Amino acid sequence: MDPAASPVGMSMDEVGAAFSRFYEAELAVQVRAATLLLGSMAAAQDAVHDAFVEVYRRWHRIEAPGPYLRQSVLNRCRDVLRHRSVEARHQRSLLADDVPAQDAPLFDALARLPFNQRAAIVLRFYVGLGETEIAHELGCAPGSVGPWIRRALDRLAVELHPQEER
Amino acid sequence: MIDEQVLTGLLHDAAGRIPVESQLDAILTDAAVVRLRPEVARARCWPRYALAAAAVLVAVAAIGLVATGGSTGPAFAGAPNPVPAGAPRPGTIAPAVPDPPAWVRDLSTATREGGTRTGRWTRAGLGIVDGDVIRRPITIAAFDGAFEGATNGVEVEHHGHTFRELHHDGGTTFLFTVGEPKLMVTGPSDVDLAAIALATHVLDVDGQLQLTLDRLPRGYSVVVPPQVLAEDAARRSVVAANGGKVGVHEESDLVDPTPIASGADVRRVRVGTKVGWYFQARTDEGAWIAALSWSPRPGIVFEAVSTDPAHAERDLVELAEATEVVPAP
Repeated sequence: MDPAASPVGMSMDEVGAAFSRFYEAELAVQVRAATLLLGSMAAAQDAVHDAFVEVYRRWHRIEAPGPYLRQSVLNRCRDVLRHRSVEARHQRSLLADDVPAQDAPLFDALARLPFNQRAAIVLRFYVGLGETEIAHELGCAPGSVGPWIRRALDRLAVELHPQEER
Repeated sequence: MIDEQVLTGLLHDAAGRIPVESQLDAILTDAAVVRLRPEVARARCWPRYALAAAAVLVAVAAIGLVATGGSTGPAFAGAPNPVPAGAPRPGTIAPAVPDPPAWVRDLSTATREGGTRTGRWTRAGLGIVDGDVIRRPITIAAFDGAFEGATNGVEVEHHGHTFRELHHDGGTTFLFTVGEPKLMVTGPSDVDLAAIALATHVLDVDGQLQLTLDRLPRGYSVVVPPQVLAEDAARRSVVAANGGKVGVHEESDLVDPTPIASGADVRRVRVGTKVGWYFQARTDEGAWIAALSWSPRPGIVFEAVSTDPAHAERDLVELAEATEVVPAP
């Protein structure tokens, strides 16, 4: 079954089986995208886990679980960052806390981007979504995504210059 | 501009080093338990976190509660209260603690980013008034600009109308209208916030957004009449201490200190000769948080925050009493 197919009208056993396939198909990319957004594997695991729980609980009512899951993960990542920003309001950047050391420059550079730019970059260049899909996921006008990506690419070029030259 | 293929490679390489652990069994088990117990009590979230983004603190013009509403009939109407004449613009003043309490260490000053909302904003607050406590508060905000939080959530349908809903497992819901009028209603998730939104009317009169509410939820009163919020300044001054676990923030765009936090009960306390509003709660993640807001002068609002349970109400009051108003750096 296509993991994104409609689950409406299934028995509980069928739901469990369909959800399991959906989970296995989506888990890795969601955890890794969330880690790129949050700079923390632990926080990403929690955000994605909670999003999957929400999807499972609403399985019968969700027509397109794939986009629903992505939106839920994005929202939870945004919440995590807000929580952090309140706990340390004077700290602008997020410090990568449990990611591989060799990737710290990338995570630090991503962390310095505004959330929408960071999300657009991850969704475009890691998840592989188009600008229209990204706009839908972020709940913004499609015309916003292109400029966000361009500004983010400019900033990342500065932040990641040493790596780019390798 | 970084090359897109280079960036794609960097992201995929880094992602490939991120381990992924399946928790499928836990999800299926947890969800089954919830299905069997749909009324299970959920832990409260810390609404101030949401408020920090949503700026859901609303203000009351006087120190005491203003309970003007009933359960039927127009709940409130009329011109919203403006920012007090002569009040400094948000972002132009700052908190300072020249003589901090003994328990405060590593005091430093910094700035934080604001500017999460634009345009005109008028807000009102509802709550169940119980002595010095405002229980289960709800906020209603009309706005004509942009708000970062409005893009969150998922589209849902209530009473035949489409909303965007952001639900916190801790029991707080942020509900946004889709289209006009632009409304944000926040409050406990078990309250029909959509009904409140649909009962709210917005008028644009003399350059101000006015709110009128047809009816109130049972037991609720208007605790904050509709009030115009000031500019959400792009930068705010912060005093931080104790490794970032304690801080004082400037929140003057909220005009007045009564925190009508969605979901958390707030209690009136004394801050020197002023009145402050205190709450403490646990976040969705189980972390502890407490906040005390007060107004040292009309139009200036400060908030002391602690994420360290060792420094709760008494210490925050002490910190607030030691805080002075200075020009922003």
